[in-house]
Amino acid sequence: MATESPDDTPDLLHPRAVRRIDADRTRLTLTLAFAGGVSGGLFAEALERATLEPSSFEPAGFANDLYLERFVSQAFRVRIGHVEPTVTTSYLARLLARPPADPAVVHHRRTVLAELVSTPALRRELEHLYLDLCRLRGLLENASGARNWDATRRQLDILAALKEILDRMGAGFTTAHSALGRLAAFGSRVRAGESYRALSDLLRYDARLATLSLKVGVGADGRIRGFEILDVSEDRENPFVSGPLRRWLAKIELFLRGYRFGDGEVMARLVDAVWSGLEDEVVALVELVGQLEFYLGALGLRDVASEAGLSMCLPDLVTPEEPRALRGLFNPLLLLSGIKPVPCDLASDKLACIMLVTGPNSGGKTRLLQAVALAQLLAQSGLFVPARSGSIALAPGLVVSLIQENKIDQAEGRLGMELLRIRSLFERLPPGAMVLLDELCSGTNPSEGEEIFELVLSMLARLRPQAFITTHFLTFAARLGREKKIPDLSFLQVELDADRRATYQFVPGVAATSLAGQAAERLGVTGEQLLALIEHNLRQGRASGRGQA
Amino acid sequence: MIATLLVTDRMSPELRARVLASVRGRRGAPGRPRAPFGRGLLRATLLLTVVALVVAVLLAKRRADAELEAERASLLAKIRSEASTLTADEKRIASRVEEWLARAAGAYAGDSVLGELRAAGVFVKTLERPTVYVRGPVASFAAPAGVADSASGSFSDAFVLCLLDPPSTRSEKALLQRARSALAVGGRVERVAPHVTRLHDALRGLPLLTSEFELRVQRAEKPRELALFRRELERAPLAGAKAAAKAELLLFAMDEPGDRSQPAELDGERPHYVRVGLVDLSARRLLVALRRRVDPSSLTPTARAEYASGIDSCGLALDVRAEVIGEARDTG
Repeated sequence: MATESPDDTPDLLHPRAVRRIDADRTRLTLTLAFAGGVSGGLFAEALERATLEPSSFEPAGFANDLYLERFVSQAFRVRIGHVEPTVTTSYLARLLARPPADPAVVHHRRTVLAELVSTPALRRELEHLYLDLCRLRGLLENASGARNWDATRRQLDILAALKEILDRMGAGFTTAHSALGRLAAFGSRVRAGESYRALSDLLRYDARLATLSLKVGVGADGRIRGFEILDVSEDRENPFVSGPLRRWLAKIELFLRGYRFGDGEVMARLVDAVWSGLEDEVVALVELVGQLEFYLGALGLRDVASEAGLSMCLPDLVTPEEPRALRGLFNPLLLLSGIKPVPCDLASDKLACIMLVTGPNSGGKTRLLQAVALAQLLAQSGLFVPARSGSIALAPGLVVSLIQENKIDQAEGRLGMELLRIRSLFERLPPGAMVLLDELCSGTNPSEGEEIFELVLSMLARLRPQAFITTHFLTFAARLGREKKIPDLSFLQVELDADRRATYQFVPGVAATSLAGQAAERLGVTGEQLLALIEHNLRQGRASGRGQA
Repeated sequence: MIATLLVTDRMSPELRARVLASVRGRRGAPGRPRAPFGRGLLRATLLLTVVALVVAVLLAKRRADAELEAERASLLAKIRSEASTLTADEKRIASRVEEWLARAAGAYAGDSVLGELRAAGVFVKTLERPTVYVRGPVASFAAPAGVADSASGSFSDAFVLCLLDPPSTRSEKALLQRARSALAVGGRVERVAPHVTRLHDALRGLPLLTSEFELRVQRAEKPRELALFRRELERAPLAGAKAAAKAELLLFAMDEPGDRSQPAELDGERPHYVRVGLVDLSARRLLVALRRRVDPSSLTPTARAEYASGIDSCGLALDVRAEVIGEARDTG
C-alpha cells in the first residue's frame, strides 16, 4: 500500500517520502465525511491501517511486558496551552512497537526533533498547525455530534480550515532545515496550484459577493435618520461571480438535474468542485496528523519529565563495538504513575555482554529493566530517551520478559511456563538483540533452576546480545563471577546505603543478600509478627465458642 | 462549450471540469453520490408537461383572442356598414320623435291643420312621404319607456290603411273590409303603405348603429358578450330602423282613456277620444293635430264583436281626411 510520493509530500517520519495510508480508501472516506459529516474516527482508522517502515522488532516480544499501549497513552500527550487534543494512541503504539530497521529513518526523525528543540518558534508553529489539523479533523468527523442544519456552511468551514492549514504550512516552516521544510514545500506547491486558487476564490465569494457603499445619516439625538446606498459593486474578477439572471437560471438547471431549488444547492455544487480538487492534499494531511502527534507527543513527554526535574535527550547513536552509557536514566512508567523516579547511571563497555543484576527485593531491578527497554525502544524510534545523556547502539530486536502472570487456561505450571518463555525467547531472538529477563528460573528449586539458568546464559552468549537479567540466585551468581566460564558476563548490584537500604543506584558486583528479612519485616512477616497474629485469632476463636455455648 | 450555467468564463479549465462533474454527480471515484438522474428526469417531465399545458393554454387563449377580435371586427364592420347610410341626425330620430310625442301627450291644445294641406292633392301627396307611425294610450307617451312600450305594439293598422287608402264609402261593410285587410299578413297595408315604418323599428334598431354600441362591442372581453351583441344585431329590424331614421313625417294616434261606464268590446274597444297628429320632422312643424271621438256602439253586433277597434280606426282615418281635405264619404 505504501506508494512513492513527491518530494514535497509532508512525510516527516521518513527520509524518502512515502504515502503509507490507503489513499483511495481514505479519499473515499473523506468524500463521505465532507458530504455528510460522518461520526467516528476517520483519521484514526486511516492511521491504524497505515503501513509502517520495515522493522526487525517483534512487538509480541516486549509490548505487553512494557505496558506499551498504556505507556503511549500516558506519555504521548499533546498539551498546547489549555488544549489537549486526543491523539491516535493505537497508531503511535504501532510506530513505537515497530521501530524502523533503517538507521537513516532514525536519524531523519532525530533531526526533526533536534530542530524542534533548538528552534522553539518552529515547535510553536507545529503546535498551531496540529491544532488547525485537529479542527479540520473535528469538522470532518463531526466531533461535536451536532446535527448539521446547514451542510454547506459546514463544508465552507472545512474549506476555510483547510486554507488556514495550507497557509500556515506554506509560510510557517520556510526556515526549517530538517524534514519540517517539507511542510513549507508542500504548502507552497499547493498554494501555487489551481485548486488552491479556486479555494481562495470560493471563500472570497462566500464572504464577499458584492460591496455596498452606504451613506448613513445620524440625527441630533444620535438615531439613524437616513440610509442611502451609494454604490453596489460585485467582485467581477472572482470566477464564481455571475449575474443575477445566470444565478437564477443555474438554480433552475440544478432543479431539473434533480437537486433542490435554491442558492444553497448552487453553492453546494461549487463547494464540491473545489473540494474535489483538494482531496489528494487532504489525504496527505490525514497522515500528517499522526506524524505530528508522534513528534509533539515525544516533546510532551520530555516536558513532563522536565517539570519533574528529569532530563530526556537524544542519545548518541554508537556502533555495537563502542562503549555505551546512560546517565540519569529513569523509568518513565514510574514518572507517569505520579512517582518521581530516582535516576541512575548505567554503562557497559561493549555490545555483546550479559549483565546479571542482583540486589534486594524492591531495590529497583525490575524498574531498571523497564527503563532500559523503553530507552532502547524510544532510541530505536528516533525519539528522546529517559536519560540526561548517553549513547545507545541500535539493536535488531528486543525481547522483554518481566511479567509472570498465571493464566487460568495455561497448560503448564510455573516452571513449565517459564521454560516455554525461554523457548520462545530463542525462537525470536536475532543476534545482537537486546534481552531483558526478570528473575529467570525462579519457579523451581534453586539447584535445578540454576542449571537451566546457566544453560540459558551459555546459549545466549552465542547470540552476542545486550542482555540484562535479574536474579536472586546470589550464590549462583557469585559462582559464575568467580568461574568466568561464560564470556562477556558482567554483574550489577543494587547499591545499599549505610542503613542497608536500596539507593536505586547500581554498582558493579554481586549482591551478598536479597535483604528478604528486611522486606519481610517491612511487610509484617517476621516470626514475632506472625505469632502475634495467630494468638489474636485463637483468642477470637475461644470467645466465639463461649458465645455459642 | 458551457455544459452548465454554474461555470463562468473566468474559471480555469480544471475548475470548470470539476464543477461540471459535481453537477453531473459523476466524478469517477467509487462510492461517490451519483446525480439523481431519475428525479431529474421526473422533474423535467413534469416541467415539460406544465410548460406544454401552459403553452397549450396560451395558444388556446391566443386563438380565442384572435377569434374574439375577428368576431369583434366583423361585428363592428357590420355595424359600421349598416350605419354608414345614416347621418348623425337621422340616428337621433328617436329623441326627436319622443319630444313631439311628449308634447302631444300633454294637455290638448286644440285641433289644428296646416292650411296648405287643404289644397287639392297636397295632403295625399304629403302622406306619400316616408313616415314613422306609432299608436298607443296617451299616457304612455309621457316618458320614453312608455313610448317604447306603445311602439312595440304599434303596426300599420286600419287607421294607416284607411288614411292612405280610404274606402270609397263609410259604410260599415267597407270599414269592416278595411279592418280585415289591415290584419291580413302580406295584404293591402304592405302594398299601400310600404313607406310607413314602425317607430318600434327605430327604437329597437337605431341604438345598435350608434357609436355607443360600437364602444360596447369594442370593450367586450368575452366571446359570449360578442355573441349576445351579434344576436341582438341580427334580431334587430335594421332595415326598418334605417327606414324609420330617414322618415320625414311622424304619424301618431294617442288613445285617450275610454268611458269606463260603458262595456268594452271583445277587442277592448270602447268609446273614447283619439288624438291624431302628423308632424313634419324635417321641417320641425306640426301639420295636423286633431282630436276625435270613436264609438263602436253604432256598429252591428257581428262586426263589433271582432273588429270594433279596426272599424273605429278606419273611421277615425276618414274623419281626419274629411277634416283636412274636406273629403266626405257616403255612409250607405
